[in-house]
Amino acid sequence: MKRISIVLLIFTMCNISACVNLDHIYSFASESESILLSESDIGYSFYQSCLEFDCIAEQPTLDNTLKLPDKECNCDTFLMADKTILIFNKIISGYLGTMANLSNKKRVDYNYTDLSKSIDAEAIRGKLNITSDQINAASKLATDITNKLLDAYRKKKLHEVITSVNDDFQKVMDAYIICIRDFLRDQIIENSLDRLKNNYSTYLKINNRLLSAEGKEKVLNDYLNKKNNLEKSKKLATKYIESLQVIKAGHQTIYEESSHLDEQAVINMILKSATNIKTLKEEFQNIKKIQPSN
Amino acid sequence: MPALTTEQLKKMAQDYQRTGKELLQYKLDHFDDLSIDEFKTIGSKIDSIFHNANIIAALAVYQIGKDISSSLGILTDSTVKMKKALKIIDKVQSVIDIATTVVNIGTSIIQKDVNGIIGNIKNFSEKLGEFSNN
Repeated sequence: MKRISIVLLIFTMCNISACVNLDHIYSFASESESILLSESDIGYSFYQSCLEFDCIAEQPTLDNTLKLPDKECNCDTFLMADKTILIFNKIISGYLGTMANLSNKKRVDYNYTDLSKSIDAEAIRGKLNITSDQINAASKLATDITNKLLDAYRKKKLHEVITSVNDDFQKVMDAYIICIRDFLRDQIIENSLDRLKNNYSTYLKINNRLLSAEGKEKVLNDYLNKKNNLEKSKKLATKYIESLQVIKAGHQTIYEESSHLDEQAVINMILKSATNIKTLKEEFQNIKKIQPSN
Repeated sequence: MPALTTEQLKKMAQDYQRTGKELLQYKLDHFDDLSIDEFKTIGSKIDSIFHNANIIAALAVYQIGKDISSSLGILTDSTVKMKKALKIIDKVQSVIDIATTVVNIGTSIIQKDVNGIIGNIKNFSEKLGEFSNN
């Protein structure tokens, strides 16, 4: 009777925690973290715009009389903005990275082999009056139970965190998207493109009669080269924003379906989010690889 | 004076940007008509307008960070909670390793292996130290 109870207990424990599959959460969180870590690859910042247009002379290729606007070079406000964006990035990527770690099944691959070998020593085996086969069976069972119990623990913790933090996660993601989309891309990069055009047109006007056809071509190429780099940063920012929107929506799905994360339909939805993020990351990397041409 | 909201700052930056773009277009449309001095003066004004738009954009980002600070704090706390759970998960293997060492000490005692006892106790202390540090 006692043995049956023990067996039943073991089966109950296994059933409670069985089929805890968090691979889809892991895929989503690790892909999300990965794209967040490539934010700096956008290649342009508030501070850089200040350096290029307010501090360092936007110097075309020939000596000229073009003067930059006379104002003091102070980039503190721009540094502050970059720092704010960096804080957003660190906190969000830290959260998603830890979520990836907690849902990674490799974290709960416990090993009883050494313990099993120690018990299997003749001196101990003799005292306990058990066989090697029994020790191996117990070791396998212990491994299975520990892994499954800790799987259930991971799932419980993830559920607790995701359900309690989702509202704030959504707010933070919205704010982060606004910073990158409305201010970095649509203001800083966009304004840099216009300031570049402004500077070069002034330079050409001043030096119009002095420049040879070849000289004018050099100036034009120089302008196009810088313009293309900025256009590239703009495209990268756009792709990055798309990724952030998918991450935001993916977290919302996990939250809404947090009570049945094991259901195949939910697993598919979350895996689709992870695949979308991966595809966007690849597209981001492809844009990054392209060498701007005039 | 009450601080400007992010939305107000965004609108101001957009207004500056629109003005800068319109002036730039005017300047380019009149490349041949304007004198060099006029061209330079307009160019300088345009640059100042875009600079102001950028400053306002930077201030807006800083403002957003301040506005959302409590949510950022909650997200950080949740990360800490998950890290604590990870520590617990990592400790389970340490417990198994300690149990292994305890059994090894037992084996050495049964076998009256003095060197084994000393070695395994040393190993046990080390594993216990690692466990406490986790």
